[in-house]
Amino acid sequence: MINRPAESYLVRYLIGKVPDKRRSIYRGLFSGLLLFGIFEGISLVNSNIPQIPAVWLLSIVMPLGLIFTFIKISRVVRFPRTCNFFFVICLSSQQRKQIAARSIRAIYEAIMPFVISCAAVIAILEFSVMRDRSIMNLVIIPVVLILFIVLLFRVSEALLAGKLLRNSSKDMMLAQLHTGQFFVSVLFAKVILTLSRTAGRLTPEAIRPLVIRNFLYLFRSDPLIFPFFICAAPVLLSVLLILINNPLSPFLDFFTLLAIFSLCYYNANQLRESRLRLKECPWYEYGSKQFLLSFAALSVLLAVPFTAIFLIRTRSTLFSAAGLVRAGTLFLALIPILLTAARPALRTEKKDSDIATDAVLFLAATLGCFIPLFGWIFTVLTLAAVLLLQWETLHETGKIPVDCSDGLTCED
Amino acid sequence: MLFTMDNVGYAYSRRNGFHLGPFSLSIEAHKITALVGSNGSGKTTLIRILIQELVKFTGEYRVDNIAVRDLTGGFLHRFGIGYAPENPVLDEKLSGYETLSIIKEMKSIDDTAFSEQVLEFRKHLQLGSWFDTVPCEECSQGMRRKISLTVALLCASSYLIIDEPTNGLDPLAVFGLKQLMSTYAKKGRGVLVSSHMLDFVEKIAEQIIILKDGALAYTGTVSQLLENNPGNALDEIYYELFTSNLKTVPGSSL
Repeated sequence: MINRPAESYLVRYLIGKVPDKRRSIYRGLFSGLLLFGIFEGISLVNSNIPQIPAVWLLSIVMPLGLIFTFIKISRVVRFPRTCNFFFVICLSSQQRKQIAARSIRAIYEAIMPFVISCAAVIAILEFSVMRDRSIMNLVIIPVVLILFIVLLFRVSEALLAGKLLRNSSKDMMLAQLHTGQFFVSVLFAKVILTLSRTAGRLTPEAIRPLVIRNFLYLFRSDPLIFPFFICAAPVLLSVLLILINNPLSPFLDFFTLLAIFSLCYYNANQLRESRLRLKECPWYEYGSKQFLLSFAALSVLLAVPFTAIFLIRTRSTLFSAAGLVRAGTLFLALIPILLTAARPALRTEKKDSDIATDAVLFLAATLGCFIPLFGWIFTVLTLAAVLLLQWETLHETGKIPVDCSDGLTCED
Repeated sequence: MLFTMDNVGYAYSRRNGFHLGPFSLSIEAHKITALVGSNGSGKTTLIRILIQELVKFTGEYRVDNIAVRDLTGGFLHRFGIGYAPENPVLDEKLSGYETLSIIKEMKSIDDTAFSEQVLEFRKHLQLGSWFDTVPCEECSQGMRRKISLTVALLCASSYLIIDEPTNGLDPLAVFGLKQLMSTYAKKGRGVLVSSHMLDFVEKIAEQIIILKDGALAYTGTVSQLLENNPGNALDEIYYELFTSNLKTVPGSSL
């Protein structure tokens, strides 16, 4: 057992400061008001703006948030050696489980008042402002959401405290040498190599090795999250696009681009270290330019399901001049978005302002989706801006010899 | 392939003080050549010039009579040279087999040749299932050395350069490496091996380059060196050179 102050300190280290019940309720009330205002209230003022049921959004976001929190907390049980808080490694497995279970309970205690108050505000506003009388939106969905969160919490707590989750074999390897003879390791290695090679075959020969390598790198970096994102993100996008009732809504385009951007941005952050390795390993002859192109190819492959979902959802309006211009604008917007998403992988040093720049570039690229017929002009302008930012990368010739890396000319 | 150096010299910085050369040297690429010398004698610097990691050298360096000073990083690929550095630099997240698979794609090696090559590596370097499954970052020193050697061997379509290949290898793997190197040389390709293990060098190398304090102390065949110093083994000649004031090996034409 760990004493109470130490436990509280570790919980706080794992999940940060958790608000008390009263604050959670206030935040829930405020968030409910905000969600309703943005996604439903504005449509009362301007009928062109599509209406998305706020309670549905809440039902998607909250369970997802809980799943991500669970994955984050479970790292303390699965990968204690990778924890940047050294004290964690000194704890026994049982103590780490205790901390993890305590953390998820703290999250639950904060999240339940938030969800209940948020859902209640939305239901009241739906009833009074929107004059919605459907039992589905007012009662069933909020109740199902609350029950689902309770279920998620129970399962998470049981997993963290029980015997099912334990030190991953990968973490054990950091402590002792292993032989890699487990059947699962062999199978996993074969599966990821086959998948990466298959993906590589779809790309140009000049960058194929790099595409295969980047796929392998992403699989190896996080064997759980990367496949989860690949599978779960298109499903979530489908649900969201179905919820947006109007096939003409620009939010369809926006959310499609946002899903692609989020996935690629996450991948780029994972691949940042990989690019540095590319420079160090003597057998690679690739520079940043090839890396950027290979990243773009990888992102295009991953973007295929998202664009397919978008095209299926908008099929009724697609085969018209406006529909084709709209689809063209979306595909055009993909270029600056993929180039922007690649920026974290190409950065030599991380600055806070970079994330803001990337967000602005993404919003600028998606702006075109909200402007009928001539939106592509904004996308082209954003593309020009992104190309200017990436100019140096696109003109890089390759590796620089060690004694020229200080920026001196190599002729002296 | 022929590496030729005319009056090649290299200095890191004034503060460092170390200076390699200038000297002239030819390395034939159909033989196994050993590069020996005490710590700090300039072996790794010479190798780094050979593979164009360092380009600010004086004099002229030619490969097959083509003057080279490569600023693009494509030198090893262009001339089909495989290089295994003293401290293995690997693609840390990938396993050895995954790394080789990527090189296969880069070099457009066909499936049969690749499978045969990997089988040879497995047999001679005792590569277990860890080679397929364990990311390099989780491998031991010896495993990393083995992966680095396989990478260099697969990349070396014309020439192989290895720096301290026996570091961290068990005797069985050292024996396997010798066999791999001689099989490689029998195919008409050359190897430059930098090593402190003189018995290893004596057994495998035909040519030898000895460096002392950044200068060339001997270059020629191993048999000629032994003939010029009758009754002395290679380690005895080496000991005499490095504990005396001699600048070159007795009997050397330098």
